Amino acid sequence: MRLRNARVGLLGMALATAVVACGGGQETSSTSAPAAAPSGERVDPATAGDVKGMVTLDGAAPKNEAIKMNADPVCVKANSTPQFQETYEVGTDGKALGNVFVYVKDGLGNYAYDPPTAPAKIDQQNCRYHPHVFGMRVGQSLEILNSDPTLHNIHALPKGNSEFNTGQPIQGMKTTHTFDKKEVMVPFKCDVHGWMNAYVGVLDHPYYAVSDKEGKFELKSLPPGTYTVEAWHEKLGTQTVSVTLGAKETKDISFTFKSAAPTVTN
Amino acid sequence: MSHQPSAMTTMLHRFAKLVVACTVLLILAGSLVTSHDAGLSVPDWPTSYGWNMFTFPPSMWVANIFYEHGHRLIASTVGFLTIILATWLWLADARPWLKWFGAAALGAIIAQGVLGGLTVLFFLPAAVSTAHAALAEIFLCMTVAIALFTSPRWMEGYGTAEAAPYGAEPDDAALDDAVPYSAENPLVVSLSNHEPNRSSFDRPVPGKRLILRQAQDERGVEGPVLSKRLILRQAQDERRVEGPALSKRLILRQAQDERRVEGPVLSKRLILRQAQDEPRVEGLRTSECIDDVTLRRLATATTALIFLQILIGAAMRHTGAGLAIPDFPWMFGHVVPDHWNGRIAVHFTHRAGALIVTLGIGILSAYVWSHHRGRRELAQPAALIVALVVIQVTLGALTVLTRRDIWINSLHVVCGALVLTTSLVLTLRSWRARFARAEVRLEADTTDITVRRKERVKKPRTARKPRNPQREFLGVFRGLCEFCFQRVRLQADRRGRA
Repeated sequence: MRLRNARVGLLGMALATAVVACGGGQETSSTSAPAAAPSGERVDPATAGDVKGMVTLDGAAPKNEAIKMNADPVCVKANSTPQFQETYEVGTDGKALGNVFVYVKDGLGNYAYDPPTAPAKIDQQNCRYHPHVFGMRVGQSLEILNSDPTLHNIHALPKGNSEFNTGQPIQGMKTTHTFDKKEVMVPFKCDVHGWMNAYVGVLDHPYYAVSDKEGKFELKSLPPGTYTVEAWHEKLGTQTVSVTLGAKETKDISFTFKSAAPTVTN
Repeated sequence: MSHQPSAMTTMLHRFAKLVVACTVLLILAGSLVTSHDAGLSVPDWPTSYGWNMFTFPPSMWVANIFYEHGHRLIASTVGFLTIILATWLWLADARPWLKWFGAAALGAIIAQGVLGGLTVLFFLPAAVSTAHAALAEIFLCMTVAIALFTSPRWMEGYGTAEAAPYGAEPDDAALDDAVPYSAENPLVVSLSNHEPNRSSFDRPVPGKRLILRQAQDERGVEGPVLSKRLILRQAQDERRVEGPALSKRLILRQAQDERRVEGPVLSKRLILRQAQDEPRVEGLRTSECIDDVTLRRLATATTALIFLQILIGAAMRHTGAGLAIPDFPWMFGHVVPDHWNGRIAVHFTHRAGALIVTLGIGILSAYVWSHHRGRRELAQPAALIVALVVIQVTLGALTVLTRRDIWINSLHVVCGALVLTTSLVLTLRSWRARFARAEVRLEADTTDITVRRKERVKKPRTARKPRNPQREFLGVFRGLCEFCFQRVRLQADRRGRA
């Protein structure tokens, strides 16, 4: 009886130990299936035009939320000045709005585009994501770098693509990932440092841009046609503009977000 | 003669309480993980950023990793403590159901660990995270129940103040009713006659040395405690059994036969336990324990309601509905929300559930105070649960008003667990009388021993032949080995002669 009792006890311990000890390692890179070979009409550079524009804010810019980094001494050391979120990147004039993702939402037809050769990049530096908002192509490689001497995890929360959460405990670590479906926008967050967040727009064409601190953006080499262009902001929602572009034409468009009444669509 | 709980029993109870305390700490750590949104701050499992969980450098426990990794380490500690607790129960406790209950608790904590891992690997799906929270509460309830079942007061059956104190001499009437089984079977000594107010099955089994000492005392043998073999020899002599001293197993078999216990030979511990049980004074036990059907129903329903309420709370927490209704006590400025969606419905259900649970606890406590105020084991948890529910409702309101302050939110979770376990203790104590009855498996046989021996002779021996395939296999294997060994030796002898 005692022998059997001891056996049962040992079995329990072995089970528990197995649960604690076993398990696989962490993937350091993840890739989806490569994008299909481009097929369809090619854009003629001789007739292509540009769309330029500006994003402005109507009303007083809300204050960005203050960040407390004292949970990680490395982050405190890297940021000696008070830190704030990058939600409202407003220009010196108080009107221009940066970090707005502008892209052609509709009207492109059946064009085919060369796949990008260079990878898109996001860096974790000074406990912030750089850039905060960016765009990339379906099937394009995304290079994720940790430049900080502390741990980060990059956690993507897409709705259409596969979710991933990759740890980067060592400074200089690089991982890559590709998205296989278009999606605007895919949020990124670091679960270690709750204030770190970024957004990427994944598209199947190259006509996207992010407004700079002066609120300016430019969509280059668009074939003639009528397009729906959308501007996306992480808090203020989206706005769309229709634009018709002739051959070799350059058009100016503008987006104005109302800070008092945001329209959240995402 | 006074008999106190053995040191082993006391230590086991204290250890069970330590496991309870660690589990409460674990629930606090878990709630802090959710409150900090740190559940995925360590993206891998069971490793931590590729390191073994236990060798992950403390210098890397920064920001939210501190909460998630700390939660994992505390969970591992609780896991190991539960292994010890289950093993201890298995080896030291006489109650088979409690042994299995300890094993079930171990199974629960292992399942809980796996659920925790799955929720990380699958990016915190609400269903898995809610199940993780629910199993945490169930495991806490199991550890609390074990601590309760191993407590001296539970084993005593919560004797009334009027009943004789623990270990006191019984009155004459009780002694007259008792069957002094030890006179019939000198192998075992009844302690029950000296402890009429203790429930039969839950008393700790006295140590072997104590049994031998008592057996010696009863026969008036002075000097140091004799060896077990000598005691057995004497016992045999008293029954006039001829031949060499019987083995312990055979003695136990005989003791069992005398009581007409069928089946395989029971362990020595169980025989001692039964011997202890047999001479118990009927009637005393039931008068000690509260046997109130209404109380049982009320307490059980309240505990079930609290658990359901915690489940809803967990679902609310893991679906991000904690602030779906942002004001308190109103809901969007009304008594009932003026618009609805899934999150608002979950949040509203939790608030409505809080009202129902508070009402249930109020009724239960009022019942205890009106009917069993003199029973400390019921009155104390009844008062405590009222205080806890007041704190819990306050914390719930503050969670909304402070926009989910991390510590207030986490304490709300812990306080909810304490409300549940307090209600569970009250419930189990209300069921104590039923526990005692269920545990008695062998009734005292008061017929004359000579009659029983005659009856035993008539009974076919095959009816109680033990079946143990493992032992049978080992017996066959041993026989084969011996046969082979003899053949080899025989051949060696022949060669030697040649």
